[in-house]
Amino acid sequence: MRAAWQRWQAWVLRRERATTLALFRVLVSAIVLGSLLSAAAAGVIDVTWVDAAYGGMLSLGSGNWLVSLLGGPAPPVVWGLFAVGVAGASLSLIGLGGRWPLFATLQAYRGLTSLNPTASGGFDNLLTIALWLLFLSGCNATLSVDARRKEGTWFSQRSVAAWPRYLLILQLIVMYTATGLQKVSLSWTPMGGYTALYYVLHDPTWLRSEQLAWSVPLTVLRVGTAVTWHWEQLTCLLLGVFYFRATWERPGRLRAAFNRWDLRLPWALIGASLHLGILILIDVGPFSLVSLAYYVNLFTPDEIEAQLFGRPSAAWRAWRKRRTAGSRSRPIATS
Amino acid sequence: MHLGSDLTGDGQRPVGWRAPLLAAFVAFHVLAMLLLALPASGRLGDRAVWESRENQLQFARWAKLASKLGVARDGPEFEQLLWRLTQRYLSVREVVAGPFELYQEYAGVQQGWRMFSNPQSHPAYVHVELRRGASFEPIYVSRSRQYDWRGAQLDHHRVRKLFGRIARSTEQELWEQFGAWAAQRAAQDFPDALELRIWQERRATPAPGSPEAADAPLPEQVRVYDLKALR
Repeated sequence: MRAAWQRWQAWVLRRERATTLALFRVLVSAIVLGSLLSAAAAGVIDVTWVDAAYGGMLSLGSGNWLVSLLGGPAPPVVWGLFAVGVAGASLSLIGLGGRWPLFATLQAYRGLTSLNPTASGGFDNLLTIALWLLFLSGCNATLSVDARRKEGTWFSQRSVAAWPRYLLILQLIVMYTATGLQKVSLSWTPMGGYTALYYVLHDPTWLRSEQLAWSVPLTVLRVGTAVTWHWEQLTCLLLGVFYFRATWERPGRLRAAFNRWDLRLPWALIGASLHLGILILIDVGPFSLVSLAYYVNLFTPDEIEAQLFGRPSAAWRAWRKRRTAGSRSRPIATS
Repeated sequence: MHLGSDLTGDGQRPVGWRAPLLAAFVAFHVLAMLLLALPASGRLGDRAVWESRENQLQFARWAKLASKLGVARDGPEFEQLLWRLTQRYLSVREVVAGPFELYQEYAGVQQGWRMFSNPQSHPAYVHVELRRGASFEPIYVSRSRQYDWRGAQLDHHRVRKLFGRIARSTEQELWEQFGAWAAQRAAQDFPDALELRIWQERRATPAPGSPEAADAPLPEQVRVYDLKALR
């Protein structure tokens, strides 16, 4: 037990450069900003988050603890939270003001979305979870105005705790696995002919365009349904992928099999394809954008920087060195 | 040191009592994430939701499959079995996840991941109509490009979710509140209109591969509002 606790502690204390978390911070802030501003542009702030007593559509109650403290879902409170959310997301986007704009954005956004559960979706949960973990992280250490002011560079080499990124990976796995397991309609299963997406595309709640949705061949929809359902439920295997990558030096056939290829990539490719289909065919708010933003956390700062700056990552250089020395191992960057 | 782990030598690790405290917090968050992700919608314990058309259809379909395994003979029996299991599960879930509810509330780490769990085979199209003279004329119909009164609002994904909830469940109150709101807006937007009518067109989706639905569209939840009284 003591050894397990010490291993857990050592894992929590791992550190890395902040590049991945900073990129995630930029993406999440942009999505929050887009979500709030697009709602304002469409005129739905008053409709969905202001109480019926003040011209909103529904009777909303007193709201969560923050909204209740501020006086309930009246226009000044709602628009005040909106303003704080926009300001906080803007500061977080450019990385100015440290971690507190992230916290302010979180509380404002949560205050608003908690007012009307009928108008909220899974993407709201993904955003608030992201804001909380980013608040706890050192995501402002790089790709930020703060870094520029403190160190004279936009790209700092300073290390930060890695555990927030690990928790974001775990969150992605939990989200997909949970949603896959809760798809209990027979139409998601082979017994129902894998017809779930066919029915989704006949529901006006979600369609962007009837013509576009109904032009998709039934066979494509059946394949899409099968891939979606099974891929979501098998996402929990990503835990094994990361574990075996992190312990690549140990023996074992299963470990060797998992590490033969970088299984993060095919998983992410399937996910990205599904989300692209969602973006084209149905309107579920920024759900696909938020989910895809979470994908950056699958990759280490080293790998992200290699993509951004076009130079080989440390893992690739180590693999080359082993190959030159006669090793048959594959390049692996631990997460 | 793991290859490519990006560990750098200039980081400041927590020391002393902070390290185990941090480790404990991360463990707490992981546990919270896993337990709060267990399904717990209020609708699971709402009998009215279980008796909705779409859910009854699902119970019948699953019962047909379950009867081959000797589990239940028909939809109602399957539903009863599932209801008992679900209520027991909810009581256990309340105990194990309860300690994390406060953390969820203040840190914003809600974990509801029920998405497209039960696609509707009988979705509803929302109709909003005005009467200026003798008859009603449509001003808004779901997904119509021709009838798109306040389309930017009513077609926004956050409002669509409301219509989807109304179509799936028995929450009449939401429909009533929408009607009252629409009547007030129509009274302002159309000074010459006399009445507003809202209704849901329940359409059966054709079975995959079939050209037509088995059931004809049905009007439901018709409500009429006097706009003169609102001016």
